[in-house]
Amino acid sequence: MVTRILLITLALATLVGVVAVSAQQRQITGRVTSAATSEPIAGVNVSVTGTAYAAVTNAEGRYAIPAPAGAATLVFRRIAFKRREVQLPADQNTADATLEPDVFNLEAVVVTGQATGVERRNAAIATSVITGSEVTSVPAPAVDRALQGRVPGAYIQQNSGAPGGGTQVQIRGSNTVVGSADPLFVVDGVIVSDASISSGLFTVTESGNPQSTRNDGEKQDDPVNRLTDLNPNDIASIEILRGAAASSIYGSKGVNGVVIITTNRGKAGTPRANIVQRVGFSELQRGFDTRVFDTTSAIVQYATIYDDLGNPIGIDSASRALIMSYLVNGRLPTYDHLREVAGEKPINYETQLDVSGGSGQTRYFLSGNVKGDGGIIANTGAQRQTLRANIDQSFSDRFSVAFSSAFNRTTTQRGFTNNDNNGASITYGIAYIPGFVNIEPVNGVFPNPGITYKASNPLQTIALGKNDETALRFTGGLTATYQAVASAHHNLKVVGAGGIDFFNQKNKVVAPPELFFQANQTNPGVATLGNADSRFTNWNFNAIHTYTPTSGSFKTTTSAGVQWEDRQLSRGRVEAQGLLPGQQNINQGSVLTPFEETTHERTIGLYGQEEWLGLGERLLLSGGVRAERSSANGDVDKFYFFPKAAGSYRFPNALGEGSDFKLRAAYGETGNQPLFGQKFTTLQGGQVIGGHVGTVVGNVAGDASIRPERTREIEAGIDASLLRGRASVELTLFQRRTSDLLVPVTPAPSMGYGLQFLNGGKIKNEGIEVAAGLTLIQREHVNWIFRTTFTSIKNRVLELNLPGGAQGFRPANAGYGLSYGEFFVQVGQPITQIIGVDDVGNTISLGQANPKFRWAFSNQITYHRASLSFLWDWQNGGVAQNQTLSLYDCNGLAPDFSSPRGQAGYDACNNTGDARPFVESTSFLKLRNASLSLDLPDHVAAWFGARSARISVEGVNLITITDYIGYDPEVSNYGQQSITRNIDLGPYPPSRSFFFTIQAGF
Amino acid sequence: MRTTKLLAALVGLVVATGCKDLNVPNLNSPALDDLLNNPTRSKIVTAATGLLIGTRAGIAAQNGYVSLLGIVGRESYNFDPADPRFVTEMMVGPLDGGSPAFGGNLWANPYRSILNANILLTATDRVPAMSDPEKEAVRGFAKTIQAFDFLKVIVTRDANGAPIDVGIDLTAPPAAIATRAAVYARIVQLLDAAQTHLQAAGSTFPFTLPSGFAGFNTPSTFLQFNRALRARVAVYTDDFAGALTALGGSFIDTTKSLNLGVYYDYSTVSGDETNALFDPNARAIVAHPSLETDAQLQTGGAKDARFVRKIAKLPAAKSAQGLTSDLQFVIYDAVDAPIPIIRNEELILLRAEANVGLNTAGSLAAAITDLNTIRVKSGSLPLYAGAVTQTALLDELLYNKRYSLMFEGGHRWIDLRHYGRLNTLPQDPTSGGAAKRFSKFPFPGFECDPRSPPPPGCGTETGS
Repeated sequence: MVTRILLITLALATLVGVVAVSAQQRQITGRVTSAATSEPIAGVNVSVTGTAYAAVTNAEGRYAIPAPAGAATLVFRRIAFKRREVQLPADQNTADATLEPDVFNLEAVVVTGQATGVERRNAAIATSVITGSEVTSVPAPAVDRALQGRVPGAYIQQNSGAPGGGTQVQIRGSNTVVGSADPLFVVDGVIVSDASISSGLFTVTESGNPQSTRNDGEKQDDPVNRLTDLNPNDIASIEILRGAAASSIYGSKGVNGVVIITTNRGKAGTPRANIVQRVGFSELQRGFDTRVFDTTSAIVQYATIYDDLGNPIGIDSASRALIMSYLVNGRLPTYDHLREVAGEKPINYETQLDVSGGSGQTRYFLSGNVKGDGGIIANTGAQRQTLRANIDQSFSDRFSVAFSSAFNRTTTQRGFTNNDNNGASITYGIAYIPGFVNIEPVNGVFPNPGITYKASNPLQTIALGKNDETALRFTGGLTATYQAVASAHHNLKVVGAGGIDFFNQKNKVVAPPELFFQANQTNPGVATLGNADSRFTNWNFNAIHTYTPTSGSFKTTTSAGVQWEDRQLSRGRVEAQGLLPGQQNINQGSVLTPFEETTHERTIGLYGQEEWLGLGERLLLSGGVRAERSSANGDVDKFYFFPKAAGSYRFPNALGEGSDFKLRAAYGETGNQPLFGQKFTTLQGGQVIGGHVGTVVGNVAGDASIRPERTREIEAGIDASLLRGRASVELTLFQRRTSDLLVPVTPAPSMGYGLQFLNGGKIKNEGIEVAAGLTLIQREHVNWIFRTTFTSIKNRVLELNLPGGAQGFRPANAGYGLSYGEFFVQVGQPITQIIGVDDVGNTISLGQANPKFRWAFSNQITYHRASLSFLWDWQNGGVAQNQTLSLYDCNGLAPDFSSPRGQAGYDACNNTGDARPFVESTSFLKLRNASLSLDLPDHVAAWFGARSARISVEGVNLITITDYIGYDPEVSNYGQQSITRNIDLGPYPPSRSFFFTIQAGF
Repeated sequence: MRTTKLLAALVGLVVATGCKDLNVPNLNSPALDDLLNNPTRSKIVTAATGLLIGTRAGIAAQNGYVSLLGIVGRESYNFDPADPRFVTEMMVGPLDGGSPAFGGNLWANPYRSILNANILLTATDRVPAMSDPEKEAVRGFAKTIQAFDFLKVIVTRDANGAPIDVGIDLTAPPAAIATRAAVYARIVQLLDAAQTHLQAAGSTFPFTLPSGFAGFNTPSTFLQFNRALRARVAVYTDDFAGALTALGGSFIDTTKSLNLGVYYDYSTVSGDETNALFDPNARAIVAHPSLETDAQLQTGGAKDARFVRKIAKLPAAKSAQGLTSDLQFVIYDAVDAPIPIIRNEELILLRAEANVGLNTAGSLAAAITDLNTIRVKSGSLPLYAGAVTQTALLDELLYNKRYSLMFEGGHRWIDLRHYGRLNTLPQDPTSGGAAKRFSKFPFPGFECDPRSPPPPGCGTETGS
């Protein structure tokens, strides 16, 4: 059916395509320069309104464009500059133009299809465009971290403070329980993997349930999400498609939003080189202080014997003697264990070199980057080396090819942190060791602390343990554009694009048998070797036809195409226990546990859409549909349809000369694919009786009719540009309802299965997003730009369709029991609800993980050559399970043990089972980053032979103001999660970093 | 025209892509659909072996079939320091269908095994490369094991009944709860159908049975196992004449070892299961003190040899929640110790039980003969000297079943319930109250959830 519609569309396009080119023509030429610097601007799109003619300026800013006879209006557009229109009388054939900078990206062209876009002032959907210079204004471990506070509608949260990243991006709320929660990332047209692949650390920490598939343990390894491989310095712009109407072009992978990243490309003209050198250091930002003991309190805590009713009945002499053995000069000392383990001040560095240029038909952008971040825990860190080559080649006016490629090597040493059941985790272990116990090595020998968790000496673990990762990645893509027809009224373009994204990730985790916590194991010493291969390929072909009638009163764009996507991930792991001393090779272990898993999805999408722009470019109407089938669905031959429709109307100059005001509304549908394997009922192998293998049905029943979750969304908003572009406001309201939500259902056990994932639930997310910018001061030497983003999203579970009318279920990775707070998905409640018991054992709701709102403010103040910028990020509401606090409280080691709060926490853990002290508000105000920079005068720059030079000082993660106790309110023990984020359990502590940067252009 | 060609090519591409086969098979595990729709001889073989793995699941666990039925039958205590529910729920109650490890336990494992058998039977009907005698062998095997799994279900739920029409279609609503009698009738039907299949089978099974089936690993000898189960079911349903008939086809033999029989296998081989009832330090499982006090004496004054053989004294008594015991089971003396499914000793006792049930002068005499065989061979006890009445002999039979089949799978609890004597179980005073006597387990909560209104047997079992 869809194929037929496409055939007709394309046939029509073919017919109109052969219409003869109009004879009446003239040639217009001119030059475009910057209003600020008078330098020529290359790459400016020039078009003649009412026609399909288009041209691009060259390195000298010159262009030539055909135009019909008679008066014409030329439009000049380029990203980062304000659009300019020039009226041209019939007898004038030259037109020069000057363009002014566009600080709020109001003039960007935003994506509306696989190969179509529309000017942002007309866009009928909410869009966010971030330029590369905003991304790289301060260094960040990965691109996602650099977007914090800059994108309305997105909650971007780090999982821990570990070097190398580990960040989750949630766009427009929690829209799934078991499906993927990550946005789709597209880099230069190539769909790239943002997988978070377990390091295998859980084989040492033994977090999770070892009897199961260890799925629960894997998630607690604080993995890096592989977006970290991308070099932020290469980015030209990032566009975030938030709404269903925007992302429905990506079908059943669009529900979590689509992040479209475009990297830098060469510009024609003299070759340019750019060098950035950064150097800096990091330090612990926040953490737990130490409870100070004297011998009396130490004996109460560690040597007193209690009866069944909790009354002290005596003192254990051995424990008392142990405490006395820690005395130094007759007093118990106080060591700050957190600063001992996380007190490093490592050096960080980054060097970026890029070269770009081109002549005539060939343009290139080449870059290399070397970066190293140290960790505040010794022997941890992250390094990245990247090479990029982007080449554009035109073969004629009609045919051009754009090639992009990047090769990366990313290595991390993450150490042992997060949840632990074995004495391995450093941050978990110090929550058990009182301050009077020395853990520093004595004459090079680490003491066994005596009072600790499972014999752990965290400093020994830091010195001997290893959790290393190496990822090699190649991402490459090719886009070919053929201008089949370019006449006054018709323009037919055929675009083909394809790309591959390969990576290999190798992990090695080693806990040698010498470690105290390993020594008393059945098979001391663990080495775990992990390997993951990911291969994504995708390609698409599109035909785009634009038609402009002679009257020039409207313009329609018809596009249709096909997209193919293939995604594979193979993971393998071997855990070796009983490792020989001094060895790291898994062959040197005595008990081996293998693991292998492969996932593979193939998806085909066919799509068509129509855009109509008319009434003097005031009214934009668009509609489209994507038809998609996928191997992930139960029925691989069934097409699922994802329609969209949108409209906007502009009121130019309604709010004063040069202003623009727009109303817009959009409806769209998007989806979330079932996960690989959810449709299969498996037979479990690997089981033996009497030496023979047998198969039995697995616990989980597949659903042969499983289908994508579907999200239907309505959004409406206003966009306004005021004061000649000095102020801009974008306000969007949205409501999305997700149906066919995949819900874990327990069938009647007499059917033989324990679990099945069925489409059935419904949830609702609704919210408001605001992005605003204002140039507060705009004088010759002083400029002050203020930007803000605001997001508030409400979420509610509407239906779950559980057997027996059950109203809720405990999701996987919900937490550690109702006495500590656990996630519970319940009808009528927010999907990220956390419940727990109070001091009298009643189960109560303790809030939800998602915040009430997130509000960020950034300022950029320029005075002469100096520039100061900083970004504050305010999160209000939301709760987290602070299980790190529960460790300190349970063990009587909270620094405020004697205070009412400390006593309440101790009592809750040890007596009443009250969860409330451990479910804490995550409200915070953070100074995410600040930078002070100075553009050196040209003659100073010329001393190094540079064209321009800049020096700056930057700080990242500088200040956190919060009532949250301990590390960081932004944390996730289980990594990327749709729901069960916000669990804090011995994470890598947060750090703040400072950098000194020199940047020079040649 | 070049444009037209280009577009035609594009259209062709769209059509070609749109029709492409996207199927991706399960890359990580064998798939059920593959076994059902494309069965081969080797897939049948692994599925048949899997049936033995499935029917073994949850037997030897610390909260498994033997252990939990041992607690409700006052054969054992479980003092697991990590889980007080072994006493609070399993002894004081109520048994809670909502707790999958205790009151709602002993259900999902046998039903999964029943599903496995149904899958194996369906695949066997479809497999091309097997001879009819081979198929008959598989069918006889599968139906025997399935009957055994239904038996494990109904002995725990008893009067509550259980679903029997369970198929392999998950989209169908859950099967109705059938009465106890209907479940036993299905078990009998399956065992008798299996008999017919095994009689039509060849001389060997197409798969290898593990060592627990030594001596019963051909269709003809496996049939003796089938008849042994049939005899147990007949006794449970008071079909005493039928029991004697079935025993005639079983491996009952007073001249052979009492341990001759069929066992669940355990081993430490990678992928195999170990016997978790092996608890050398009595970490959790201890024997009920009444086993010592109730044991009869040998002629020399020593306790019943079965007590001496199966139970050891702990160096120090263990206590938990008001209960105390200094007795430890030594029945399972290694992590690979097998657990009996049915053995010669039980068959001799079943014959005695059937004969007591028939209650004729000749049958009572025959019962005494069998009881004396067990008393002497197994217990080293003097010959039976009590009254020759049905009541007295039933007492004597239950005593011998208790000590002969001690901690082998709930025999004492099942037998006391059968004869209405659960009220003879001691009401141990735990710190949470006196222990209750339970006659049956409730249905698991998840079994009740999809049924409206919930059938009797959902919720909790308070005991008496």
